[in-house]
Amino acid sequence: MKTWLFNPFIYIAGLKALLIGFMFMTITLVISYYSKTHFDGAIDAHIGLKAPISLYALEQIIAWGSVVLTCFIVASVISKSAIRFIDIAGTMALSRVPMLLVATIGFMPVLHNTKPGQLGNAVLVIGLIMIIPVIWMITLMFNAFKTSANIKGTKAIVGFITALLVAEILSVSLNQMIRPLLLK
Amino acid sequence: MLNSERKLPDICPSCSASLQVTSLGCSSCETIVSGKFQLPILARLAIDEQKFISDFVKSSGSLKVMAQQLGLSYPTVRNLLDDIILKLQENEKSKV
Repeated sequence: MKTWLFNPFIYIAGLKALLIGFMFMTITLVISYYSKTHFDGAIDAHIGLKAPISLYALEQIIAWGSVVLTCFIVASVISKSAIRFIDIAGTMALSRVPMLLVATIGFMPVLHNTKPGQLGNAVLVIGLIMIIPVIWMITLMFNAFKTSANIKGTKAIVGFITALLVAEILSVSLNQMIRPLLLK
Repeated sequence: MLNSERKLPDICPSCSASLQVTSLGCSSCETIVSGKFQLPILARLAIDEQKFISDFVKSSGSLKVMAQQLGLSYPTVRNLLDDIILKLQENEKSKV
């Protein structure tokens, strides 16, 4: 059970993981559109801004794509194994399953009725609850990186943190570029 | 424990040097051959690693077939193979 929750990549990877991951990403997209939850960064989630569904879709593709790209580049440099791009792409798509929970939590009315600068206790509690699926996703991403690239120990930790930081910068920058174009 | 599940010891429990085969016996006529024989490099691997190599050869070296048979993902099986390759290379180095 623990393995399936945190490292399902022992059993599922490649195209199968990609299809399952995309299926969950599509469900998350629909839910996030109605709950106004934006995944505007590799590991980000922000609530409130009304936007066309195309922006929500692009945000998810950018969030997933930037992690895939940076993890593949880092893994190609530090791994001695023959890495397949489809394994990184598939396992990283499957790693985003916990975002379904974040998009669902986004329906909480208290999150939409809060004025900027006035954070109540309820918002803080929900914010903390939302961190749990994000941590779950990062754990899944780390295990996806380790399994797909056959990297262990300190090398895996340093490589993953580097890839994730670059992915975060890349995804946030891309989102800032596309947002004005789609919100016109 | 069945005899077939026991790993052939390859390290001396006393001084940690590599062990050699010094006698082989025929289970049919009880003839004993004595001498100094190096352990084959594959015999130094763990039982499950030896089984993995045997299955890998039987599946014509296809990691995809191996993954299906073991119920594991392709990268997991490739990682197992890479770990065995690394172990074999280390064993070869230590032998030299």
